[in-house]
Amino acid sequence: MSTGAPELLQEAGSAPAAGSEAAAIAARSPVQLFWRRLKQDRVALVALAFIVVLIVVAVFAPLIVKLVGARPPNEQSTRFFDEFGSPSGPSGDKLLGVDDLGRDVFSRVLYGARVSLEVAFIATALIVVIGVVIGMVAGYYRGWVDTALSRSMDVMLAFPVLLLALGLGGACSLGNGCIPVNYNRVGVVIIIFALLGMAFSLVRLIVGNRRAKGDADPLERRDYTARIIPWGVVLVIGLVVELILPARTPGIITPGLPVVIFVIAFAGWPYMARIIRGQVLSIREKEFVEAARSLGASDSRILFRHILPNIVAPIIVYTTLLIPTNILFEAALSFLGIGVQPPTASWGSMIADATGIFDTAWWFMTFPGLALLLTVLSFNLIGDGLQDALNPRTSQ
Amino acid sequence: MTRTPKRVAMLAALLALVLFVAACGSSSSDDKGGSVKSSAGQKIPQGKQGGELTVLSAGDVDYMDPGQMYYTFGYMIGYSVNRALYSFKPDNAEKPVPDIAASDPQISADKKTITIKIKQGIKFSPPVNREITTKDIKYAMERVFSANVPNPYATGYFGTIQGAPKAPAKGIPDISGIQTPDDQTLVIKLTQPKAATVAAALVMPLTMPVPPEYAKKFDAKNPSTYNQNVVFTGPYMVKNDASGKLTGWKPAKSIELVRNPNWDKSTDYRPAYLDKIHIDEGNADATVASRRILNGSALVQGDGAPPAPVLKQAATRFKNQLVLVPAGGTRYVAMNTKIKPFDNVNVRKAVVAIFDRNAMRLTRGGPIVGDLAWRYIPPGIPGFDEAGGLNVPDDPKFDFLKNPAGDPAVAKKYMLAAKQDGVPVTADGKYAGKEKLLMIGTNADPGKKSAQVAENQFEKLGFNLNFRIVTQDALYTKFCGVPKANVAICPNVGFFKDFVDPESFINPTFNGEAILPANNTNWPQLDDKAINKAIDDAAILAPGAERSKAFAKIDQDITLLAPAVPWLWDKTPLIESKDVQGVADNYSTVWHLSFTSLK
Repeated sequence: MSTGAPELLQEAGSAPAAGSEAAAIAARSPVQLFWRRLKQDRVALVALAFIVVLIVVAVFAPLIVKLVGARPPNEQSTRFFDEFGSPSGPSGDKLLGVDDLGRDVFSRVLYGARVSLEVAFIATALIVVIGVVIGMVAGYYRGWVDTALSRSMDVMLAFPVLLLALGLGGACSLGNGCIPVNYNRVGVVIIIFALLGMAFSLVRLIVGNRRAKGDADPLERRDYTARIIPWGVVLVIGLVVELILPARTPGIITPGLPVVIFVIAFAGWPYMARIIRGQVLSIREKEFVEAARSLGASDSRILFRHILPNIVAPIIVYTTLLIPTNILFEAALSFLGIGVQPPTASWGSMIADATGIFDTAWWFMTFPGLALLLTVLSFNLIGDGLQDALNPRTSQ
Repeated sequence: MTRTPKRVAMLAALLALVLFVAACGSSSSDDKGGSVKSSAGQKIPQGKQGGELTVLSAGDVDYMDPGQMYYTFGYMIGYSVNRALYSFKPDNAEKPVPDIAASDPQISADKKTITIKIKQGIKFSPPVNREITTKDIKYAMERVFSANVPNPYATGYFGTIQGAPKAPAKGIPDISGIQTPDDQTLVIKLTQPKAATVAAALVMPLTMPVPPEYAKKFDAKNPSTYNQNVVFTGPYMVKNDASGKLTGWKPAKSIELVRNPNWDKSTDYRPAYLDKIHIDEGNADATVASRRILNGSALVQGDGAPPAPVLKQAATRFKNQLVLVPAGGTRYVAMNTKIKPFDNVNVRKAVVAIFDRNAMRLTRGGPIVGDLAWRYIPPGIPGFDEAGGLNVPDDPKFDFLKNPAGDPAVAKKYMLAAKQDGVPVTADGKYAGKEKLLMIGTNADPGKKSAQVAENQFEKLGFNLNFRIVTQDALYTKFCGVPKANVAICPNVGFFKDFVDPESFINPTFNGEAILPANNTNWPQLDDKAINKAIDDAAILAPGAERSKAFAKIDQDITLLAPAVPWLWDKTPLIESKDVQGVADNYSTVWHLSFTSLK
């Protein structure tokens, strides 16, 4: 007796119905499965919607401020002060009150979102790029390479990051920043490096192909372009730096957001690198890597074509969880007076300015604090949701 | 527990937190009756003997050594434990009274010799224990010219003494111009007829006596270690051991003042009611410290004023615990007259005209913290009334100062006049130059707020600014006090009295000859030959109506050159606990510990 679905049943000896088999056994793609699981997580969806709204608000902040009729974020006014210079709170003509310089808190909260998101996304991107590359190299190559990179990570993890931040902020916030760069020299170095790399790759390819002549895997021949193109990109970068950028700039770490982004990226890459290293250590032992190696695939091919796609899920999850950490870090640095220079609005600097008058001007700290809280919470919830959606076993 | 209920719980907790926070916030019940006390013209009350007072301060004294101390908090302690030749009673900061001196200084007809007689019966504290002589004062004045005892004003105020070294000397120089014909007579001979200025400066701490036979061994070291071994002549002393080492001073932590057993009340005008004074340092949060004082017992503030929100509370709910002291100082926003476009007087006048000085004052607490300034000699200093007093004259040449909220029309007028001089200005009177002008402000409130308001004022006229905030000491030592740093605008500068004489306000701040490569106090770098000559001519006049008038005229002339935007003649707010009968020192603008008592 059959227990299958009627459309799957067939009389013995009869041919199956045209098209029905293919439709019946079509499997869902990983993306579909991911999206299906994510849709079931209502909290994560709400958090995602909040983030989307936040991004829209940050991008369209000037328009929203204009539409609502609020004053620009840096416009000072003594109209809303009493005789002692104390600011007034939320009312009809000022949605969220004014700060201690008479600036509209609503406008500044909106514009502050730009700073927070800009720092979070750029710093996170830098952390991901640096951390993933170093983590993959350390995990794949093992030996002295792994030892050197892992110890570097240990040193960085043990580094008192806040002290570094305070020191860099103090040094690089004065005048025109620090670490002045002579771009002419940098451009020359990059060009020479690219040419040497290109030459070395070409020599290896030619020698390798001659040895494997006749038995050469056609794949290896196509690797000419795969090998040369990256060096070509580096060469172009070098030419841009040499010919287009100014010969000398005041400093690559200039006062304001660059200091904050540098500090966050400098402090954050070891965390990502450690996680990626761990992932790569387990994946490199898998059979498909062994198979690729035995077929003669190069290390870079194995790393970027075989290993990296298998660690995308944890990268995405960790990146999403890194963003709120970096938002909080930026707020902390701004609170300490490093980073964004006045009058730029930043949630952290707004909270710092509000601490002295919190008991008489509660709105000044509450609203940027609330914005920070909701943003960080939303990213955390999205990260949780992504983790569950990408790897359902962890939620059981 | 699965994730979703956990998340809901988190969200609920968040909502509760928001509601709690929003519900917080004080509603002050303001007591609007009566007005806040001012120390100007105060009567010194009779106090009760005994008790222990605690002074809350954020930082430490700069020095205990009278040869090196310079800052207000150091003076608060210094003038309680030591006596200078002359000093000020708390109710009169204009006329000093003899302290160690027995009478007013006698000035020769050629204004080059000062003769002073000192009292008998004034003794050093243990372990020195002997009566002071004029040789101790001579040594005190000579040691500050040594490289081992860096004094910030010796050369400036006493450099005209015959034989005074021009640069810090090795060892303690023997200055021929300071003579001691007997133990009670001190004669000071000058190279220039500047006896009036030098005599006025004899209130400074460097005239506090130092016993050479005790101090020489400390002063032989570089830097001198006398700072940790000071001996005292005042009603109080810092606790010390048998060798003289100050055991009662734990730097950055506390200072214990006890009664000086060798102090003779009959030689001193100070009553010294308190038995002990404990200085509690490290109270960095001014808001917390101020609230402790207002709500606590037997507490007074040391350094630093209460922040504006606490000042408001004090002025509305704790009126009897707040006193305002005319600070004898002027705050201003300096424009560097050596940097374009501030080398043009019309541009500077336009800046002064557009400036909202009310907004600047509100950053510090509003009208309660002082009067709007329009010149540089502050109230209480000779020459203030002669130069026009509190109100801007109706004379049209002062039109750019008339409106303290800023006058765009007058500003435009001066900018268009500057356009005639070749300054790039748009048709509507805004600056058209593209360069970014460097502006350095302090990172400490309320100065940081004042700097931001100042930035806003400059931007109204179209200036592009490179605005940076730095620490307070870096502001002076690396930027505004260093002409080479090429800072175009210094919004957080000001000058407060060292002693009661108009020259001390005008000479170091606006005389072109006073511009220094480091520690410069002529922040606008004004170098006008006519002004320089006028200052030099006025400096040799004897104290009195003629001198006051001369400096008043110079003050007005400088104002008309608009090298800065003067915006506040300070009143320093002092707060005390309700069981303290505080007496404000109008000279140092701190509580006078030798007159304060407990109720």
